[in-house]
Amino acid sequence: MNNLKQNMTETIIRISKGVAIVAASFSLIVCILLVANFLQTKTIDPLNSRALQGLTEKLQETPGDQALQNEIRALDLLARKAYFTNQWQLKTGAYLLIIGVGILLISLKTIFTLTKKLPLPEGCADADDSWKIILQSRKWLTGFGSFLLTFSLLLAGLSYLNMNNFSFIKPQKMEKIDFKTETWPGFRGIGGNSISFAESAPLSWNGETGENILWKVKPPLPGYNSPVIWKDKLFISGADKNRQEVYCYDVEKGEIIWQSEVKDVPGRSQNKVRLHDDTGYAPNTLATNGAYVAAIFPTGDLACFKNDGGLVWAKNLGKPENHYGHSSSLIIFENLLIVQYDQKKKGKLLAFDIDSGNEVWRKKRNAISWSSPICVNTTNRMELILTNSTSITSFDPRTGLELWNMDVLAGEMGPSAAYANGMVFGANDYASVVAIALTSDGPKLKWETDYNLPDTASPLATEKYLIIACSYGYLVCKDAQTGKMLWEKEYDRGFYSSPILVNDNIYATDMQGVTHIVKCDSVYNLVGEASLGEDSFCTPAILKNRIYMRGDEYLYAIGN
Amino acid sequence: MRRKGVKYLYLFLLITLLMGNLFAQDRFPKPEFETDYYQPQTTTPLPDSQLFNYLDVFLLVIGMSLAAYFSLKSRSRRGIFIISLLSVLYFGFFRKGCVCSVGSLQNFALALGNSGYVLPVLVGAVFILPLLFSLFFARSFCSSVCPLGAIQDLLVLKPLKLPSALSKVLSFLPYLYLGFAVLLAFTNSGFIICRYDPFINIFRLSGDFNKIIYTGAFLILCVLIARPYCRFLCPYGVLLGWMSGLSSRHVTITPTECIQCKLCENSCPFDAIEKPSPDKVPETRTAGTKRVGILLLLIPLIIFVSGFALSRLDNILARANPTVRLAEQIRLEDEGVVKETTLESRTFRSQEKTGEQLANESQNIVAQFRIGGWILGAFLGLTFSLKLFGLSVRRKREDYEPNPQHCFSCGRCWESCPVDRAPSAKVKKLGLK
Ligand code: SF4
Repeated sequence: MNNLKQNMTETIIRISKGVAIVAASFSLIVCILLVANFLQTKTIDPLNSRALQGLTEKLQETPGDQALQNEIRALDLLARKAYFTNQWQLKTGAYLLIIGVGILLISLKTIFTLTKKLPLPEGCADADDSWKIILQSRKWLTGFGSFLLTFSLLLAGLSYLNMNNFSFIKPQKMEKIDFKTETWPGFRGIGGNSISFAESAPLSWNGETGENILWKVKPPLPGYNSPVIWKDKLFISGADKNRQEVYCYDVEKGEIIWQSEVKDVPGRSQNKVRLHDDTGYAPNTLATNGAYVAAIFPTGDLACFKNDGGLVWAKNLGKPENHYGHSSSLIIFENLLIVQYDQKKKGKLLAFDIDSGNEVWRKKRNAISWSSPICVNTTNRMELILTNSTSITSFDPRTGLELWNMDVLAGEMGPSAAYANGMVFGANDYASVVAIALTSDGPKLKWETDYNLPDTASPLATEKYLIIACSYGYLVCKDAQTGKMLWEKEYDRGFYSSPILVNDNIYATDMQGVTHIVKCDSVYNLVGEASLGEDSFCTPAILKNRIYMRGDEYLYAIGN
Repeated sequence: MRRKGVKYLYLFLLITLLMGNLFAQDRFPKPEFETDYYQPQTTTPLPDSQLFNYLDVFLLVIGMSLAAYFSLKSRSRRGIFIISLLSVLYFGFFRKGCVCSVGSLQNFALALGNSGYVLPVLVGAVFILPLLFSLFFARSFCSSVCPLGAIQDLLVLKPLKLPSALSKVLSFLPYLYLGFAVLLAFTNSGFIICRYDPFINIFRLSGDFNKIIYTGAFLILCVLIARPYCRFLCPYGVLLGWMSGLSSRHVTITPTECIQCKLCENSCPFDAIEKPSPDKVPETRTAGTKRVGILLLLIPLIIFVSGFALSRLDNILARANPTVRLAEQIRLEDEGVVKETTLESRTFRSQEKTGEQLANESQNIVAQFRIGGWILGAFLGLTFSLKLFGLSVRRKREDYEPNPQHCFSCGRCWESCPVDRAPSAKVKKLGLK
């Protein structure tokens, strides 16, 4: 009987050993395959394969090529299939490995249990040894306890000696900022929508006599970009053929706090960009969020500075293919710096993480423009609305997802969009003014007219009215709901600067530097007129009852 | 030699098993469609059905009852082994190691410290039930029902024997871990037990590279040292040990009477067998009494000094709290010491809360840490003193017996005892003996 049991045990041990060897070999093979699969996934990046990239580049040159698009789709699908097959293999491999190791474990456990020899008492401690162990334990425990105590005391001592580093608990008086009244973060103010939240603004000034001029300074380099402001700092840029600079001014004194040059940006093309005189070397308005200020130039150089002037990052977006020169301004949404880089070819809309400069998302753009993005809350979501030479398009600013698009525009698009009360407006010279209602069924073209069109200045929209400033000297008010013209007024000079609404007044500055202050109403009612004494093409920043304006040569702060 | 080879192979396979998780990463961007296709919104899965939570509690009770039966009544090592296996499969792999009793002690501490947090009944049950069972049936929960203990138990093959003095020193660590875990949970600063749970990655078959290395290293340690987590880290084990110490029923090595054959002396891989006390010790009675007297006098001082030391670590310990860290980050940003902003600081700045409010909140938290430091220090000082006291007084022990606090009720020592009892007919029938 005993012999039988012995034989049985030996057989089980033998079988277990065999199973263990098979399970171990199986697990080893699965493991090697998994590692190989992993290395392959690491080294091969099917979506960024040369073939796919080559085809994508080709498509950018010939955007309408259906055959090419299909080829790219097929290749992309193949890459994705390969990826998911790979994932399946990894998952299956992991399960096989678990099964293999599980069986190995069981067989090893069986072997160890059946071959186990019970411990023998030899070498066991006698009374003397027991005493020694107790003695040693006491010593070690005391040593360990003393070490812990000394270490804690030392650490505590250090933390109190080095109080500066640890004093995170002192109440800090942190200034909260009222974004609406204390900032003008980009072109046409908050969201780029031409609305100032100042209670009022001066109604008269004179740049030559100094009436109501708080300060007037000449920036080192010229530029057609408009001032942007964050609390007590004002930012503009200036550039000529050789230099590109960003300036930070003290809004109270008009003194330069810092100036930084944007140079040696990696990736900049050696070929000079061609620029139109009306564009200049610094037409793009900066954008700031208080912590950072970002600037772009027609050379394609994009730079981000800390608000103390330190360069955080800079990159070149590629030489723009733009016959007047790239003039779109920047906008910041949450932590994203958004760049509308519309070009003749390979246009794109880009979003960069402002901290790092890393690209977060990009979208292809199919037509050129010189307009800037606006970012508005359309009741239930934020929309980034862009115009170009064919359409008005809305994107989700966080993800770049296209929300809607309407092919309603034409011509060389300079004016940006405007938004008010569920309606989006676009307008362009030699094309039309369009009003799009954002309904629950999607965007609907509400009205369209081809009379009184702007060339450069962007429209200003309110709940009731749409204001258009034309480059041939007309300032026009239309009914926002119907498009019916309510009034028009012709001035000596046309408008490049976009009109801004302050409370109930429209501030529209013509190319001669004269600002016409008109009641935003269904009838024309001039409230005041004031002159800088020099030409002006930039849009003013109006906040805290002051106006910051850039003339052809000077930068002005206007206030009572 | 061959056995050693198998052991290494076994280790290698365990590590590579973990490596499999490394590959499970999502690195593909979403396809960009140029048609009217809209990317679907990301949806959040619905919470788990409560059904499984009830089932967890039910199975916990059944598991502990069976474990208690096998360890205290039928003395079935095989039964305990089967429960271990099932526990690893159900509580570990199927339920992904959560909620576990070990981590639930933090929920308990959080509920004590924060009136806004109500301890879910089922979490409370998972915390309380093993303690209650230990109070009556010793550590039957540790023997096989706890998935963390069970997975370590399955890895006990031929572990190294640590010097007893070292084991004694290391056995102080669970008290440290318990103290800090409770302090951090009480102050709503985080659940360190869960964050540093070495087995969760294997149960969930996931984890980043560092965690997988950590788990792999721990598994290797489990093969070299029997149940290292249970013995030298587990904070819940401290509570279970206290309860088990109070229990009147414990595992016995021998079913009847110890004949002092010494055969079981080295049979416990966890060093939990207490030997009979020596008849004579090389120390006079007066010297021993004097030493104990001095220690007794020193105990209040030890408690005070360690309380003081830890209370002064308030500034450092409080940094574990996210609110305090944010307050510090905001200050450093405002002072221009750090250039980079963080997601938290940017979010804070976009909200209504003022800097003063944040700083005041942080101050309150630091104050909590100061008081908590006093209590934690005093607790550790007391534990240390009692451990030293335990080593200083002589207790009369006639037989080989498992330490009532440290024995995991695993039943490994039974087979060493030559005075075995015939298994009951029922156990025989079930094939559990
Ligand atoms: S049951 Fe025996 S072997 Fe298991 S822990 Fe207790 S004393 Fe050690």
